[in-house]
Amino acid sequence: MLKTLIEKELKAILLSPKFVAVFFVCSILVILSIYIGIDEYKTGVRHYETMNAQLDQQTKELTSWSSVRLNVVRRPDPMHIFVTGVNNDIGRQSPIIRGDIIKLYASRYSDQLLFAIFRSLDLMFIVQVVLSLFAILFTYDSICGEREVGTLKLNFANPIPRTTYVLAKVAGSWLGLMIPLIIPLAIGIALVLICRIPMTSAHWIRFFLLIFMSGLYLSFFVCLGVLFSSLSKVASSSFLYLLVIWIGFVLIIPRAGVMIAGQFLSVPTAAEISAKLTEKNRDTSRQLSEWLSGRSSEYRKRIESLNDEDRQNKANELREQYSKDVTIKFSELNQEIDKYHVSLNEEWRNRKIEQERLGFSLSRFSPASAFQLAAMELSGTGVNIKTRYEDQLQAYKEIFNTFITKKEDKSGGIFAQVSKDKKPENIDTREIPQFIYINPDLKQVLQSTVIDITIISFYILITIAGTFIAFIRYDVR
Amino acid sequence: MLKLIIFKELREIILSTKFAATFGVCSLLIIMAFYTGIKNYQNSVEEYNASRAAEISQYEKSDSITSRRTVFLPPEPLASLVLGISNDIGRSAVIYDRSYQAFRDSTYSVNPVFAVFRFMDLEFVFLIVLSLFAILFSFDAINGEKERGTLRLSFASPVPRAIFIFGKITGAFAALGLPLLVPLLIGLLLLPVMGVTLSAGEWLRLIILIVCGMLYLGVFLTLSVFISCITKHSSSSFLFMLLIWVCSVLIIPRASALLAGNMIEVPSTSKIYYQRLQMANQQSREYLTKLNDIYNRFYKELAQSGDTSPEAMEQTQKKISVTLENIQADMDKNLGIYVSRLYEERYNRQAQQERLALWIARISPSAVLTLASTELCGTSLGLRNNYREKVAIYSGFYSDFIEKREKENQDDMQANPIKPSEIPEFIFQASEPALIMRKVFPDIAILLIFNLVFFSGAFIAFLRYDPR
Repeated sequence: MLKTLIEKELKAILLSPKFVAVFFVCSILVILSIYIGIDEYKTGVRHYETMNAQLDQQTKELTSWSSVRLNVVRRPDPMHIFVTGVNNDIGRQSPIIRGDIIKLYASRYSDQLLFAIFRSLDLMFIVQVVLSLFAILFTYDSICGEREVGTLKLNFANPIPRTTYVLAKVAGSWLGLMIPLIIPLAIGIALVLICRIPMTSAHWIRFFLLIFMSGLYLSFFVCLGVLFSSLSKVASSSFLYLLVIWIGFVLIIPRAGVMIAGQFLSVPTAAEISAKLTEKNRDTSRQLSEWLSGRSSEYRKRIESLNDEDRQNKANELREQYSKDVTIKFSELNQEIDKYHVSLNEEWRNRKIEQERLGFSLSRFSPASAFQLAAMELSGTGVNIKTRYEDQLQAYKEIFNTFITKKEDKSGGIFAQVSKDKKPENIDTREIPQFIYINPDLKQVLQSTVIDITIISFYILITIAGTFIAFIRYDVR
Repeated sequence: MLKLIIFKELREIILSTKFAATFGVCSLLIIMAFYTGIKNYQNSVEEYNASRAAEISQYEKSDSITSRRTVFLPPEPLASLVLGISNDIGRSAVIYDRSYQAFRDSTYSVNPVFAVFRFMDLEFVFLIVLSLFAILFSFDAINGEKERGTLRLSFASPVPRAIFIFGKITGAFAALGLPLLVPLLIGLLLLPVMGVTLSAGEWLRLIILIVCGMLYLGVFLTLSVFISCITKHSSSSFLFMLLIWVCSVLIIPRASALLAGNMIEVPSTSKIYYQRLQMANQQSREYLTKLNDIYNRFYKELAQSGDTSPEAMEQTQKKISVTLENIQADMDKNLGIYVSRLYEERYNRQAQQERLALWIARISPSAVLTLASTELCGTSLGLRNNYREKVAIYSGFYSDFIEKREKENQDDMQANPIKPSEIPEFIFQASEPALIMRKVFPDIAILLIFNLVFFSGAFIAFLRYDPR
């Protein structure tokens, strides 16, 4: 019985002009979005490689370790093809400079404002906005439309249980909606394979989880459509209500949630933070210069106090001692500055995290934002990509700094180059430790998406229950 | 007769429950957009003042002269109503040596939490809500009446078709447009009530913005009537309109930018940065060889002259240092020219790309509305150009000031620190109203043309329509 009903529903959808139009639009959009994503990914990789090559060339010509300046570039990830998230909004590179804060600069959107006007078109956007609208389009008249045409009455002339009937309606519409998503997606996957995008198995798992989330999210709108069509008598009014709810869920609640959080919790501006940092830097350099002048006069005094014979022997020793002291002091002060930066940053970040948490909890009232947040989490383009990246860079900076200090020590401190007469040799850049960004592992990702999956499932359950209750009481005449 | 038809249409729409629901939502959204815009403006003014104060306070504590300073893009009330690119553009610019670094710290890059869903501003409400509103009330204007049978009844009386369709469109426009003016007026009133003062020019721009919104509503209204004239069933006209809406609002604008981006490539700032570094490296290598040559040459001359007195030695030293200084200055100048040429090329390419993208996007009335409203509120791509220009001018101005102070200090033989009150202020002004009007004019014209085309389409289609 259920099978026949589903088949009937599916046939009705597949043969309608609605389906043709939706299928056509969806195919174009999905394939276009994946194609564009691949293209952007490749451009990103090219950008990354040229930047690194140029940087390599730069460092190769250096002769002293202390003049090594690194500029770490963010490497694009294949998952960005499907979900852009905030990837284009946050900076793509960060200079690694001692005594300077880790900060990502030159985001794609601030570099190329044109793309910021209308933003990008990715798979997540298509599912979240376009397909959810189509889900409503498929279901808004599933019950009341049949009533208007009079077929509902005819159906219930046969002994069909109402629950089976409504279940078949939901399942049939859902299947009808999945076809315009799955077929172009298969073509998209083929495109990804043909273009030899380096997708690892972890990437594929994430991708299929994304598809699963999309299916779940769309089921909510299918159920919602059936619910409203069994709550209203006329198809046109059911569509009106659904459209208002759609606008609310997809367009308004997500934005409103974050905006409200922004109003309630304020975070100090970047300029205030950087002013504090500059002050600290200035204090430290003053401290250093005072220390240096004190030390050098002490050193001079000690040399002067020696008699002529000792002066010859001990001067070198003292000089070496002095240069070693300076190096140590230097790294000490650098560490102090770094620590200050980290603590300042942490405080700032905690405030931001609080704001984020409130904003996202408010916007999660809408399944559309739950879906978006989950999709961004799955593809590693959520808001925490920035903090994650900065954290890892901070850790890397420490490794890099100790490496450079060690190298400087080996070549005899900061002032060593000047005193030696022999021709300086080029440094071996291969020795520099490499920065590799580590994506959160699958377990972590799953942990943070569980809440969103729960929210959407909860909504689905409520709407299904509502639909059953509404339809059991429905007057089919 | 015409009046009668218009009134009938007006009454039909306004007295429907559909209208009450949608009008409520629209009003709420419009007022909310105004309210949050004003709040955001007040927050960003606070933020701007805090940033500036933090920057200025550095002068109070410093006892040396720095040629570096950071300036910030001041917030503007209209920019908070229509955000445009104002959150994507870097708001701070570091000035030094007569030039400036690329703009940094855009709102979205500092606070990506806002970038996740972006904001809901007046332009967004207009873009989505006005168009949907128009579609909902007129997708079945003609074929719906036919389905219900009232169209045949209407034409049982001697009503000219031209007057009927004209009356229908005007009636629907009046029924949708006039009530919307109420929340818009409330929103406008909120501005002075919440303490935001606007200049006369800004008021004018806001009013033109509302006119653009009405024209945009008209585009979707006339298009819906047109589509309802050429389709048999209201359900299919609705489907068509929804597809057109998706394409116009969501797809064409995005696709156009991507298309233009693929057609014209723009060198990135990071690439230029490295080209500059490379050039500088090359120059320093050249400098070293020249240094060697010059030393050799002058000392050879000195040796040849046979003069070994300390004065001659000193003179040679002086000559060498003067020559080297000249070479250095030449190199600096060349590097400056080279970099500015690279940037100029980038700007030209970028301008080309943007022009192409925006013209492709203008196929969609929604993109036209976006462009017109951002232009009116000073948050279009022009904002970046304007900001760039103003910062460039200011950086020259500030460097002059610093040089003057350094010279004074040298003359006085003491270091007088700069007092915060002495620093020349960075003043950012929006483009002139006349210029804005000139830039918006084509967009308004396009919206008008869309209206006319769809209106005449509906008109002609209806003259041939079979009302049975």
